[in-house]
Amino acid sequence: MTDKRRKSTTIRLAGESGEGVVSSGQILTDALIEQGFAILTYQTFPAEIKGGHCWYQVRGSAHPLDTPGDRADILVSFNQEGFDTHIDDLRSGGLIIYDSDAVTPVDVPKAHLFPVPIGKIAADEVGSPRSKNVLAAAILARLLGLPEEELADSVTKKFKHKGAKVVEVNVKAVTAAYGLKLPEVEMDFALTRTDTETAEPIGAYAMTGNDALVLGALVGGCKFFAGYPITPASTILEAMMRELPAWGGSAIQAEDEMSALTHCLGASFAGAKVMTATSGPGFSLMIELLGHASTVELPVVIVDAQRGGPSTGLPTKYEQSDLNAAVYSGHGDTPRIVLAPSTVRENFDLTVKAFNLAEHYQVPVILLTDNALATRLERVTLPDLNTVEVEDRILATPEPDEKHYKRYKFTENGVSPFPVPGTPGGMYVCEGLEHDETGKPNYTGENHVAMNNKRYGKLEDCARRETGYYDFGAVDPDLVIVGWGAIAGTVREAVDRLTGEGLHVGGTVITMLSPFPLAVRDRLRKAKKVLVVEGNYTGQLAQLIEAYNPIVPEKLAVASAGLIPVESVEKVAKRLLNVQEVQVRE
Amino acid sequence: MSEQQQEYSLKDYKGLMPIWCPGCGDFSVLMALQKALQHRQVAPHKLAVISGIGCSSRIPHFINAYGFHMVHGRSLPSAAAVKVVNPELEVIAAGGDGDGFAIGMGHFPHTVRRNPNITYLVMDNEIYGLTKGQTSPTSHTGLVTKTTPWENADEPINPIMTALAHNCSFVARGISTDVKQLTQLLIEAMEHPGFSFVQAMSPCLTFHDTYEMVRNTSKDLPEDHDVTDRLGAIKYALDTDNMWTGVFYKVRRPTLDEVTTRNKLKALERNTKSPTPLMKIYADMGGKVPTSTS
Repeated sequence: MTDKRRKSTTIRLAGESGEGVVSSGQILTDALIEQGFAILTYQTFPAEIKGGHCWYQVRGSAHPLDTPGDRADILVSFNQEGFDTHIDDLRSGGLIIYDSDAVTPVDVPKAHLFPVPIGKIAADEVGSPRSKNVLAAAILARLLGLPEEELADSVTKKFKHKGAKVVEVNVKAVTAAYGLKLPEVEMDFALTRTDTETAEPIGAYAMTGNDALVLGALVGGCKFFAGYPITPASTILEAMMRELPAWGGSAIQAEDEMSALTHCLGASFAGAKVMTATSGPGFSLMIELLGHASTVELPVVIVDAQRGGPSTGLPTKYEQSDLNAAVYSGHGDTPRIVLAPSTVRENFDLTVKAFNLAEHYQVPVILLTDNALATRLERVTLPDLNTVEVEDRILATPEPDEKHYKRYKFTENGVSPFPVPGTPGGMYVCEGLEHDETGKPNYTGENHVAMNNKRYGKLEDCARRETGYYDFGAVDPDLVIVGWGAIAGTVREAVDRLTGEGLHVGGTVITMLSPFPLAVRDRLRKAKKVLVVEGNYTGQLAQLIEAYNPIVPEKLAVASAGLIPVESVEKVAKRLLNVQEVQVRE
Repeated sequence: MSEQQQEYSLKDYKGLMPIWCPGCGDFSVLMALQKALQHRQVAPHKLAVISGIGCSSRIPHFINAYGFHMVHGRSLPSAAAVKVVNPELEVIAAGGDGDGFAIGMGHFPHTVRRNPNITYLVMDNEIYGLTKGQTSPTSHTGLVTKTTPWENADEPINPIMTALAHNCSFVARGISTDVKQLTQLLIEAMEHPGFSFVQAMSPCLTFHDTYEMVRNTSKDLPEDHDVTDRLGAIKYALDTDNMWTGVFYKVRRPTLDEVTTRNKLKALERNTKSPTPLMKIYADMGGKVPTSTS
């Protein structure tokens, strides 16, 4: 809320998983969506099935949002752990609502306390202990300035399928919440559209990153999907199993990730546009097949929704540490394209692009998303879906009696026309051994050189064709802050704030990690200083940038099971610009 | 149809010259496969042969067809997907015992469960040939090889039993020394709607000569064996004295491509009445909704 230009309110709910933390957050989020506000959520679950600490954050605004917010303006804690764990993340002057029967508040100097016997009111007054979530959501809705009737409408809609009794109880919970006496606070949490300074549209659809990605795949022409359940990519598999038949395609739940990608390669060989989706552990299993796809030149889109690694790692947490695996993994020289969307809308756009590039160049395309992007709900504006540009594979037209068809024919950009099985005269062997133009095994040095040139030639062409990044902030910056994936929103917000303070700071978000976008080099070379912000321990993007550019970037690489706060980026940026921190933001 | 009327002769199915060792059983298996294809008059451009890695997995090059030489152990999932995408193709997955029952074993029962309408031909020589003589998952207990210099202590995999355990819809065994029977089995396998598993005993003269064993122990399944009797089939599969050949078991189950086609029709029909959530957004945003007739 400190950013006056774009007023927003950030709410965090914390407690034991299964206590209504997430459902309260979702009820509030739904109501905000219905009221036409922009929202951006962040959630983290324990990796256990039941129990464990969880929290849900939602930021609401009348303006488009880039991040789910660093600190909470309002914190709701259902239990002591929720209070103790998150109290430090409450903004100074913020409000903490807690169940007064479950939490003993410690001394909080700069915050306002709002004890509410949430459990008791739900049980006694409303008559259902389970209405705790609606009660909490309604208190928050009231603080955000939502009228009682509108929240009651929203709750009615949400619970209609559960019957009139459930609706009645929950509407009663809304009434109870709106009857409570609110504490006096200086901060105005209410979201209003009256202070609109910009008319930026906030999007018609509230979607998760995974949903947008699936829509992108379907619009991009995906006709076959195979996957294996894994957090946080399981919802892509579920959506594909549900959606793909309706779009004239087929989806299969495979027995493991190797089988998933193998199914996809078979389907691609048969001529279909294909995709698989996984997370780090599954991606590791797919790597032999990724190299195979690269050398047999089959189009395939591979989604890696990253989570904390290595090994089983932190299954439900955000991290961006698979960049090296995506860009470099595999034995031999294995060209591939790697795209990294940075918003929910980009999950749609870059998935369509992933299909277009896979089909155009007949290469595997890896879409690197992450847990934060996959699970967050964000309002998106979608393009006219009938006019989205969709590219198809260039097909071979052999003579029907042609012998030894040159499937891997050398061409100017390395792309050879593709014979779909069933085409007379196009018979060949799709061959993982090094092969000649016909697909026949050939191990000569001369042929290997020529084939590597062909396969990498496609990537060179792609590097020329694709921009692969976007810029914002100062035109001739003293400092360029570089980000990728979900952290891009953090960079954007940091750059917004820093330029708002008159500093010459620019932002660059890299959306294509392989081949490395050519034009980024100029931007980075011209910058006096470069800071790379990313959610991993070693600074994988910083290393990649160093490999392709004659610069040594500063890095803010943090693997702490959560998004890097905007204020951390600001702090490092100011240190690099030798700017004295004039005031403490909090 | 007489030979003269047939569009495709045996020659039409020949690809590159096989590069197997002289005396390899795989020559006969290849011959049986080509004869079966010719008998069924499968158009070579409508034939897909998908293999893994190993001596026998080179087979796509030796057949005039669309071939896919997959990575080690992964022929089955890709073959199944080829059939799902294009049910008009005749799809053959082929490979050896190491490819199928060691590195690729994880896919075998699951492919059996899904029941894609493809034929899986395993050339079983009970040894790793391409890597020059290591023990394989079907090597018998006690066998001395380069990797079992003292003895192979492991119990061999029983592929026929494994197939039967998961209700494989067609289970047969042939031997490379009886091309006539093997051809017939492959014809039946291809004609059967569903996943058809054919184990072809195919000795390796170079690293593990099992010709005598195959000759001495192989026996045609009795004429009165009921191919719909799974327990009866299991009895023959467990017999360690005789290596029974012929069709062990046959059952009609919905095939994977039948199921995926059915789901598609069901879903497409629903598109106009109650579309899926993303189809609804697609329609809202100007997309052309596919229907069962489009």
